[in-house]
Amino acid sequence: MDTIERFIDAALNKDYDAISRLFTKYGHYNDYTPNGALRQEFHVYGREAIAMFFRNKFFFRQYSLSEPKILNDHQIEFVASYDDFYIVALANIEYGENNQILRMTLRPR
Amino acid sequence: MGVYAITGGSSGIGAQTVRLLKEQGHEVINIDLKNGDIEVDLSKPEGRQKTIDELHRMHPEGLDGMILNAGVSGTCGNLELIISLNFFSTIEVAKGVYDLLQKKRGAMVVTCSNTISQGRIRMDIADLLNNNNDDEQRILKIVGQMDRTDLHVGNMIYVATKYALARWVRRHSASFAANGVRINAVAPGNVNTAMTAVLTPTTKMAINALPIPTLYGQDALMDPEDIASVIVFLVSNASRGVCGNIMFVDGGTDALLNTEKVY
Repeated sequence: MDTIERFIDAALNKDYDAISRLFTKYGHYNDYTPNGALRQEFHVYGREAIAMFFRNKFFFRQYSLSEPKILNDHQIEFVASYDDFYIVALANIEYGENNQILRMTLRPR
Repeated sequence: MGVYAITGGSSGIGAQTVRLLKEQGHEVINIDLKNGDIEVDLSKPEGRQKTIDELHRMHPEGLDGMILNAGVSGTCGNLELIISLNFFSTIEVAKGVYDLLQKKRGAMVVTCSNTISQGRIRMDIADLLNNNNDDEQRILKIVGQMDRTDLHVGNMIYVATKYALARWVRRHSASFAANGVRINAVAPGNVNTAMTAVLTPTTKMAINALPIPTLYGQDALMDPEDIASVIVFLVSNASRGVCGNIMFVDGGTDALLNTEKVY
């Protein structure tokens, strides 16, 4: 399973630790899609912060991912849900060392 | 040395604030249901009035600081108590001792909560509290119709009271300041207090899902002194340039979950 598949697997299983381990130590998660749900964007920097962020979002059911489709090694399309507000999102992935995620940028499709 | 009054000073953040102020040599009057210098039930109008009267009797020359800290959590199972104690006792005592603070150009600090920035606020309740707070009984009747057995409802009411307090501080800060009284709020993260010691396993899981970056990996709660030291700063002259501020004292939780909120 490559990084992009492991991300989908971890996100579907709401495994925040597994998500964070896919990022480099100072990896970035930049999510612009909440704008469409009239919420502020999320910009989270660093593996530990990414773990804490997703732990919070998953526990309080404020974020979920469904119907993922891998477009290529660097892009996933999926349905993101923010507090039951659905947006089709496109994630672009830049890789760093050891094929870990240096930056994941999410934008509305 | 100064004279400070505090509500809810018998335990938790309040007790640590009392200790720190006394260590600095100040006189501190603790207003609490038990073990207070003034023992009253602040959820009742009579308790608030007794507090105001006693403080005027004890220190007619004025107060250097008033710390409005008394409150209950959303898990207490009493929705009316959350409204009366968290919100109404705070604003009624604040208004009642305003003249004492003016005399010494003192400062007020309100204990709020970092949950105000984490969404799912009952803004209808917060709006009622801020815009219709001349009729406490009417708001209590509205809240009394809600399902008190639903923990979720209790927490939403709690957050609404704390949000309304923060907004009340912001709304009144300029006028207070122009009359010599600074007012600020602290918004603590989850703190290890008597309030959090009796939480259910589910609530504890929820608390651990509100990460405290400065305590990363520990699944620990903040120490009450972490908050108390900031309260002491806010009532001191060292913070003379700070007014109308909602200071998040949560080890970075708010910044983690709201990176774009810089103002």
